[in-house]
Amino acid sequence: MDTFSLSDHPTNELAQTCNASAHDIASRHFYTRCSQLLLIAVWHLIVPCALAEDTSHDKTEFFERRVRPLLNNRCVKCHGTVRQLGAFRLDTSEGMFHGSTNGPVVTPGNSDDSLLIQLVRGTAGRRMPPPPKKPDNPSDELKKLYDNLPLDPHEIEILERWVKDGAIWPGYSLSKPSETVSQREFNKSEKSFWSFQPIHDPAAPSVRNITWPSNNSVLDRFILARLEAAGLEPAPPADRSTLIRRVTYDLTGLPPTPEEIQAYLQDDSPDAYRNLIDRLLDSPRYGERWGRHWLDVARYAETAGHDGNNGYLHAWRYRDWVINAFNQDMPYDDFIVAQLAGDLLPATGDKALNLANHVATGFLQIGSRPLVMRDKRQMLLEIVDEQVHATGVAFMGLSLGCARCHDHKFDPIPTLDYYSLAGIFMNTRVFDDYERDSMHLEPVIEGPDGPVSIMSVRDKPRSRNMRVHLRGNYHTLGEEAPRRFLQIISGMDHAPIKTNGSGRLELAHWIASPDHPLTARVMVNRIWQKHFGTGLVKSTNDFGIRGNRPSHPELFDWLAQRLIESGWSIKAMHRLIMNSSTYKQSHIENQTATSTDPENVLLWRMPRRRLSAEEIRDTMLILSGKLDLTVGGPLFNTGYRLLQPPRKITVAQVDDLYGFTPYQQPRRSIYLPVIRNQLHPILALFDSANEHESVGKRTLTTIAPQALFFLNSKFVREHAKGLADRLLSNSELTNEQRTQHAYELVFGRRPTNQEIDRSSVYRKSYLDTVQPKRDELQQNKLNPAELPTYADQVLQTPGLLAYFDFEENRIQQDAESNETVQIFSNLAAPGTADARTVGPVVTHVPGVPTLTYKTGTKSHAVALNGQNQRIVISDPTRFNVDTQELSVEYWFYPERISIATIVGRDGQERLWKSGISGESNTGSQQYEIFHEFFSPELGRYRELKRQQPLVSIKQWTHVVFTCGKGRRQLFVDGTLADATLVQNAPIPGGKTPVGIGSRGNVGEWFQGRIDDLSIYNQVLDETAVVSRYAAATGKLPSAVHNWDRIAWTSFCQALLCMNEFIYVQ
Amino acid sequence: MFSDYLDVRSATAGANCSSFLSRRDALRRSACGFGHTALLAMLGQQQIGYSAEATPNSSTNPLTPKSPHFESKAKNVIFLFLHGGLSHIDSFDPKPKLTELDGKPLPFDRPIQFAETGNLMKSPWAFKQYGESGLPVSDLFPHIGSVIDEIGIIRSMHTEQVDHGGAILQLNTGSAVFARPSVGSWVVYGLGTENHNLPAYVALSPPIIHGAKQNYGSAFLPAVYQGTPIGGANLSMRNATIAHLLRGEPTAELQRGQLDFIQKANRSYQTNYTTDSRLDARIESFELAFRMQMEAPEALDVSRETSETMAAYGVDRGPTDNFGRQCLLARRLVERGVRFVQCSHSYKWDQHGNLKGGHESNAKQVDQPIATLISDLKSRGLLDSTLIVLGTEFGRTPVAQGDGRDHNPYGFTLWMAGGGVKGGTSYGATDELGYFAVENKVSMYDFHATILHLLGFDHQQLTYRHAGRDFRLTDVHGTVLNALIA
Repeated sequence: MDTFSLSDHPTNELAQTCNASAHDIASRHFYTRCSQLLLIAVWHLIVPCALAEDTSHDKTEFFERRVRPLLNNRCVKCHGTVRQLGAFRLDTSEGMFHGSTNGPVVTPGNSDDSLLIQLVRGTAGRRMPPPPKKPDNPSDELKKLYDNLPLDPHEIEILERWVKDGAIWPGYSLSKPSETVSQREFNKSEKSFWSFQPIHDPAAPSVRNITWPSNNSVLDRFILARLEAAGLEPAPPADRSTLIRRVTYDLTGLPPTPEEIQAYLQDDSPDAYRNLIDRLLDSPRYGERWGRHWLDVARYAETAGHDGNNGYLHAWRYRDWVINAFNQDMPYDDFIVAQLAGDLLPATGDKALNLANHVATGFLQIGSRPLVMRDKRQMLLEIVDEQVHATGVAFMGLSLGCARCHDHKFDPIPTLDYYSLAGIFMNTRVFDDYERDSMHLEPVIEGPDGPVSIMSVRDKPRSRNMRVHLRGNYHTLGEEAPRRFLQIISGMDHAPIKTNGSGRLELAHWIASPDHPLTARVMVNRIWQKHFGTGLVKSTNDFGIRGNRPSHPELFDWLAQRLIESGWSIKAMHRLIMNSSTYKQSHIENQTATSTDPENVLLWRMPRRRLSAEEIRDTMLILSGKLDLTVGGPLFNTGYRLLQPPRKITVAQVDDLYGFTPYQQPRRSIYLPVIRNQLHPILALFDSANEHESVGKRTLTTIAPQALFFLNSKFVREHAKGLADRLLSNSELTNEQRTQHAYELVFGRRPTNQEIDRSSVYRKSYLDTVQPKRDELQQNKLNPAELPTYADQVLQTPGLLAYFDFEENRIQQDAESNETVQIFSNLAAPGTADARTVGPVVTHVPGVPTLTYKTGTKSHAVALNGQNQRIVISDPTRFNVDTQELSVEYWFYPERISIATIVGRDGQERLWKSGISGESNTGSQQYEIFHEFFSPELGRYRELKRQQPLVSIKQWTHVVFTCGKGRRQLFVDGTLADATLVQNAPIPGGKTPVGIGSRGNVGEWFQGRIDDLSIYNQVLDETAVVSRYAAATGKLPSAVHNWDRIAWTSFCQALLCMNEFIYVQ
Repeated sequence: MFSDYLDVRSATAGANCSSFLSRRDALRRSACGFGHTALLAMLGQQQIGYSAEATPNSSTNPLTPKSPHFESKAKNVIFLFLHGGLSHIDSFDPKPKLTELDGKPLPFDRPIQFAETGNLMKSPWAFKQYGESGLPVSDLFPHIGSVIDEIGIIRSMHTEQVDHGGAILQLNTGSAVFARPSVGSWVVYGLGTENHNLPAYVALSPPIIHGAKQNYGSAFLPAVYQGTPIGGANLSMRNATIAHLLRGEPTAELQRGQLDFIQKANRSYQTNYTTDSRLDARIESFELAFRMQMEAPEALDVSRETSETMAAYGVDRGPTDNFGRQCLLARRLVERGVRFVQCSHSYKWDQHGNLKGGHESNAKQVDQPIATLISDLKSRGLLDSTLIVLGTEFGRTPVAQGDGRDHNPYGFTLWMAGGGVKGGTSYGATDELGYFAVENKVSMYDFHATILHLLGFDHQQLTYRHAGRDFRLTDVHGTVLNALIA
């Protein structure tokens, strides 16, 4: 069962939500939920004047902890949701203070006069609860206990104390008029606060250094004037290769190609830089980079987050709309209007435009929201609150949510204003039928290519104003809040919206007006921040009293005016900024400036910028040549389970973030699904936006898990390999040229000679380490056809302790040995099988392949059932003596994925073992091979598997693992898969027998086939391993010739790990 | 949005372990020509704990061990989370009256419920008294019964949340509706960590639904305080590890060689004068990662334990294997200074049907590991300093839903052990049928306040400024349950 069920509330409640009806849904759930909000409200109140409010807080506590539970337990059964005997109910404040058929129930401050107290005392001629009736069924016995016992004296005391203390019921005021909070006058400093003032158009200041401003840029003059006043000089201009990397990342989120770099470096025309900017602004990659900034602000995600995490299956259309809007340079005012009220714009003959306008209102739908709250009215209020908050923060840099419960503590936003705006959204439908399925609104709309489902909003048929919810509680309603705008901006008591609709269109036009003091400023600041790392107003999402003041107020207004003047063109703003000398400075620091202005507020240099999460991932993909530049569309068709199919609700379910298919698509990061609480692990690791609220500026962290990702992740390794393959694919190139190319691709510059040398030394020492025998192998040019047979090789190898080829219908026995072989199978109880009889486990089953060597025919292998079959071999003279070296070799064919021991000495004593590990329940068809030595000297800890190789089930695999000469190694299919340095310590002989197919007799049962198991007291060298593999399969191990590629991969990975890669300067 | 507190630092440095550098410190280092050897030496010192000399600016490291508000026994927490809703009336809260009225209708109105419920249903399990305290425990948990004298039971829990999603968020973060830091994040924020080569806060096999990552996330607290997941609800613990802990290069020597190559380039990259401490921080973060890669696998490897210990936890023993590994791993991590470990028994306890079969099989998976965890910590002298918490999002109704039980947030049981908890006690009570908490009712805020108190915090004082106000785990609520404290 999950968290969706039918609501127990009447279905017409939505229609009543604006109606201040006291008919409520009284449930414990509701009111405690609400009291949470109330207490938060109380919290806000008590923080600044904690002492004064302490007693009220105590009273609230007392009510919640003592009074309310008492009422609920003893009174509400007859005076609550179901029954209201005496027309009286005690589960809501309204009920309590409204009174009963006998008049008022409490007289606050006077318990003796209160009917409630008289009744529970029994002094009013009656007692409550009333005495029990005669029991007529056994359960009445118990019923009596609950309903009909008089209150205990201490319970009566609780009620008395409560009444004496004023009968405080949180959220309810006995003197309502005094709580009317709307008549708030703004004081002088509020009225003159900078961000509420009209935008000016200041003249350019004069500067001493008239040559520095680029083309007499006014922007540069504003910056320079401040620098000169502070006695600072701007940094020298950045060199051209730095510049092209900077601007290309800045506008597209991707690195320049070496060809683009060359072309730019060779372009001597005076317009080279300007043309470069224009080219990048015209690229479709531009919208994918800058659209993402807006998606942060718009708290874009494709699930509801919170409890149920329902999928927003059509949210991607909004994302694509945003990207397209940036690419088309949609005027920013239109951009705003479409998102808030695109559905209300007049329909045109252009179906694509109509569709786009509706899609744009997805802005109001994509927020994080609870969808399984019992109290649907409360739920709707939460959703409206989220919309009000998002609208305020995204477009105006104002946090309006605080005004929900009380006048904003810091900003001049009265509660009345909150409900004026909330009323607009309250008249906007967000659900088709929230009672039935809590589903977001997904109308089907006619697009140019036929009907499409979208995520959007629409107006309710009839609109009405909300009333102020005192302390945010819908049970305590204040005056009506006319739908209109913010008083601090539009004036006290400005005219309400005159419309039959919700008022969203009017709101949108009001925000998107050139006269609005915040709109242009907020957006200019967002653009500035993305270019320079810090906004002219540092708090990008807070232009209120608590936010930062602009560092360059005049420049700021000048820029805002230019945005408006340009017809709200974002691209024009990029050109203005990026063509300035300010932007083209180098990042170089100097000590004087650092000591004067350590934060670089005055912009005496260009700050160094760390790549964003998306840039890091996308760049690795493009460097390996694997980036898929497909534009738009949905990506999350899998990974969601359909909940309760008739209701079409999908819920995100991601078992394994790293294995989640939609996250592995080689698409640009912006197109990957954004699943709240289960964000893409790589993007989340590098500080992608918090998906629960509007993000104006991402936080940036530098943490060890990021380093682990760079060093060890499959993702980085895979794309390093892709990059290496690109370098190696051109066989004409010298290694030096390859190194050069690598530096150009990754860092956008040529390497120094020293770097070329270091790179070559690195790769050489890498090869020397991994493959001392490499040359020898290549010189010998192993020809599989000329090699001795596999069996001959085994038998001729020095140090052979035991060899089981399982070929005959018995296990090979050395007559002179003390070896005993016991085979336990399900056909015979353990210990009763003939110790020398192989029994039915060595078998050939038709249809299941047997290991077949090129050099000979094999027909049998050991087949184990994975439940209770194993083979135990003991030979004290061979195995039970300490040895300096050990090698174990085997072939195996697993039938299913599990955790299984193939061979080991792991019982009472834990000596060593090897096997496979993988999970049968992940649906994976691959597993890993492990080998362990339990002695601390032979690996300070158990040798963990590397992520590679992964091996597939139902195929034969050759394994050799060795220990000795200060090294442990694992070869899989003739290739070194793992190696580690260990101490030169003896491998204990012990007494535990060699077990095949299980760990002792307690678990890790192997299901599948095992063949040609051999054990040596010497380390097999790589030549021997390769030679055997070749003899058996007729081919050389695939990786033998690729050590060079691996060294290049390691080198490329190192480049990706370097600071120079993730910083742009 | 993060607070100003973080803005200051995030602009200059990252945030993990020793990689948190102040601008001043970075300046000092650049001025001194801070070299690789010095770096390693410093890191080496850090491995054995901070000293004043080693980290003169330790106040800027958000994970530096910190003293709580007052002296306390508990230093670490192991939070055992039974996801789905453990039935209190079938485990730790016996109801003879329910047995008596089995099959009868509920004698009072039903509160809000998840789905239709029927008549009263007695517990299929008998209760026995255990230990010197004689506290009753059902036959579901005989092993836990055997250590009952270490446990303080709260039988009067209640929450507002009827649904799993809200309820588990409330249990793990204090808030059902807003994204708030998890309990572990608050604890690590308050106490820092003792071992900088391991994550301070580890979530074993954490939930992947019902708020998923929020249940071990740090919300508006800096990311260094979030839980590091190991495994996941639907994955086996057998091979679970920290993401990317296994080295990418074939051998350790190659890995070191690669890292040296990287670091050499990184140091050349900043040959010019710079105050950008992020560059140093990133160099350090790679060294730290390398050390973590060396140290963490050993810590995470439960097979390093003796076979007796592994058997006691039920590792490799059928049903107990998975949770046994979690409990054993939790002990290994706590032993090594990890501050907060959450072990999750994934979404299995939601027995709307088949209460008998479902709870029985679940209990078999966790009973022995939990009991062993308590006795093992005790025998190692770690129980006093380790607070063990058993959490579940709500209880289950005394009325039946077919052969199961519905959600019951109105009354249920949680317990704590070790870490200064008064063992062998019970606190509060539900009514005679186990539907409502009626005596000494305890809210999640009270429960959280008590956890913080046991760790030495005044829950009202452990605050973090975000979005213009001071937040705390217990919001504006919370009363410490003194009766549970030894």
